[in-house]
Amino acid sequence: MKRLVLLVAVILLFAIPSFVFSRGAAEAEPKRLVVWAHSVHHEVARGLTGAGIDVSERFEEEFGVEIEWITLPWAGMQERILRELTAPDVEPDVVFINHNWADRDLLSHLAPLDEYMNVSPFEDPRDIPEGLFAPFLHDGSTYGVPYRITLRALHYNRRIFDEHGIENPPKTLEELMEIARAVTHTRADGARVYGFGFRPDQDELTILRAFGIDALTQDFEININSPEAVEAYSAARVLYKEGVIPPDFPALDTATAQELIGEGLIAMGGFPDGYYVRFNNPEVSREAGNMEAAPFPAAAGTGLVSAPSDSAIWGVAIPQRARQSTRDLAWEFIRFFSSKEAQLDMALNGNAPVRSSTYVEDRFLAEVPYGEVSSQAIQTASPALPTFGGTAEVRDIVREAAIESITGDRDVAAVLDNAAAEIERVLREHGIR
Amino acid sequence: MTLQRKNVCFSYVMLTPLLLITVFVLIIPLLSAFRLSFFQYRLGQVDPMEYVGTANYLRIFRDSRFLAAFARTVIFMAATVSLQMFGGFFVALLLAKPFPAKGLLIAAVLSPMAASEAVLAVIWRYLLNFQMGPVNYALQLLGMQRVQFLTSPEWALWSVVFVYSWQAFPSVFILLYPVRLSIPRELYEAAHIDGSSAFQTLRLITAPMMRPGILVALVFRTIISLRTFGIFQTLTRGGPGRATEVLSIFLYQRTFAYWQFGAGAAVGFIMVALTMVLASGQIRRMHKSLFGREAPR
Repeated sequence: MKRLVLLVAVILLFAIPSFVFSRGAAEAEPKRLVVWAHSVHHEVARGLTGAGIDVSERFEEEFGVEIEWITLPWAGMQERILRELTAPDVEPDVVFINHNWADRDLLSHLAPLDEYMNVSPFEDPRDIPEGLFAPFLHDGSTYGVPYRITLRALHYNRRIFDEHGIENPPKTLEELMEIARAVTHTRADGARVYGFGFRPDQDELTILRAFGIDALTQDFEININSPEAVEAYSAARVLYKEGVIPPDFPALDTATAQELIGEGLIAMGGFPDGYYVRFNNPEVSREAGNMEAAPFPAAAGTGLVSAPSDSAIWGVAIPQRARQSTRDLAWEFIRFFSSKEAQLDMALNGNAPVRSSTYVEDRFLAEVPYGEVSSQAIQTASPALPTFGGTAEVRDIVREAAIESITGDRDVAAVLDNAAAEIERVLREHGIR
Repeated sequence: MTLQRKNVCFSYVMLTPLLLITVFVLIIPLLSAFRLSFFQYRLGQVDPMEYVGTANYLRIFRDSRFLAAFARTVIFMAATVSLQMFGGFFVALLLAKPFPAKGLLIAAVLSPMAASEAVLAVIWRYLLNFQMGPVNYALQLLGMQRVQFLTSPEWALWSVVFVYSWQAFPSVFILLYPVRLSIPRELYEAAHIDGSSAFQTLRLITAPMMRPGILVALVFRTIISLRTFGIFQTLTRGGPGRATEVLSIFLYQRTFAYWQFGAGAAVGFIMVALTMVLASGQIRRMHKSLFGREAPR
């Protein structure tokens, strides 16, 4: 018994001071917040681009914390984050989530933010359009707060328009098609200039939205074979057969389309609003100074002012298994970076802001030439497809159907019926039907 | 312990690290992937992995997209292996003859091996680009129509076949060239004296003497062609539409775009089975050709 008491006493003698010292050492260490993000989030927060305003430093000073930005490349980012979120020890205190990944499985690895939002709400939540929150909601809880959005606009070449006597950008989809026909021509050097740079992995959903429908709604209603979709793709087929859309459209990716616009070989195209800067950058575009932006038009008769922007939304979230000690700080990070001031400063650094108020700020409009177009687009912006386990497969099905409808000879309605059946199968496999 | 027994024990001791590495790096992951193919599992899923038996395999065999990818893989493999084998064989025969600047020509033939597959694919993607590629520019200058080499369903697969065969035939050449050089010159001299024609010499001397080398190259190239991925991903990404979606691209899509790990593992094992079926026949033939009898089973 005496031996046991002695042993316990010796253990305590060593254990207590080491515990005290380790606590002291931990307290002496600066607070650290680990943030996993894409490099673009880091750049706009640090002010490494655009106006150069270091918003991140301001947060660090205000909260006495050091932010450790871990940036992940886009390729493999989803997999890396998923693996991390499901690991027993989660490193990041804050993660950036793309709305396309935010299915039920991923959201269940994130901490619900409702309690934080009730106790210490972030500034003016209504200023962020409701549609931008939709991907981060599940079972009535919020798991992420929008940070950045990619809006779509119609980019057009003013020089080509002027040469063909066209004064204004199209206001309706019908006008867009007429202008596209009018500006399609062969240059003196033999190069063909196409009226509209339709891309099968970007514009296939936008053109449906221009007709007021989504291929698959947020409530999982299938519209890919609706009369509007048949009309949309039939109209695109006519343009393709007339040579207004590039013949290699089935494989026309963003990089190639960008090059063609830069070479003046495409007169109009739907791209993210921020591409205005690239198209007008003389280092990468021969058409710098000629490119302008307008809202992507909707079809006449839909009652829409413009096609609702299919948007990529980035949200900020706290992992479910993140360190308990930094959770409050992680929430402060979210509050701080979603504030009006931070959103404006980051917008001046080149971020695409999520607050409607940012788009009407004088400083923003003065610095961002396409600001008014974006301001209109954000009002109706939302993802074009619902996020669930089968989103990627549905997107592939729609793309294939668009390609076959536009380039093939089969009846468009039959092609789209087939696509609808395929989407139905995916929904069944994922337990939605 | 006898010396022989000691030697055997020593051999096993020396082999142990390698065996352990093989078990941990190859056998265990392979078995674990095989097990996964019987489950429904998506990365990050909250629900526990669901055992679905052979459902993944059955679903894949019923999937018209898989069957089309399978057919394309067989066409691609047959076309590229034929082109590589014929190209490598005839260039090896050609370069076995003495002529000036032969070393330079051999270096030129081997040059595709100097760059990585991805780099070569990027270069070819640019060369064959419909809008801005030099090949189409040259065709236009010659008064011909531009060709959608990589962007039309009719051309895309054959363009990949051409690029892949061009890039891979030097590895057949490098195997067959020394084999051709090792054939004794006396045999050709004797054939010449006997009045043998060039075709007879090829059929009765060169081809039989090179047969073991040809079979080795055939086995390797068949296996490697079957699992080709990088060149498809860089040149066409399986498109346009699904015109160049082969099994490796199908597997990649299932696993890393749709996150269906169970189904992806099942596709992987179908590819392994296909490789084994194709390779085992060729290996048996090779064994017979080398040793005059069937390989032990």
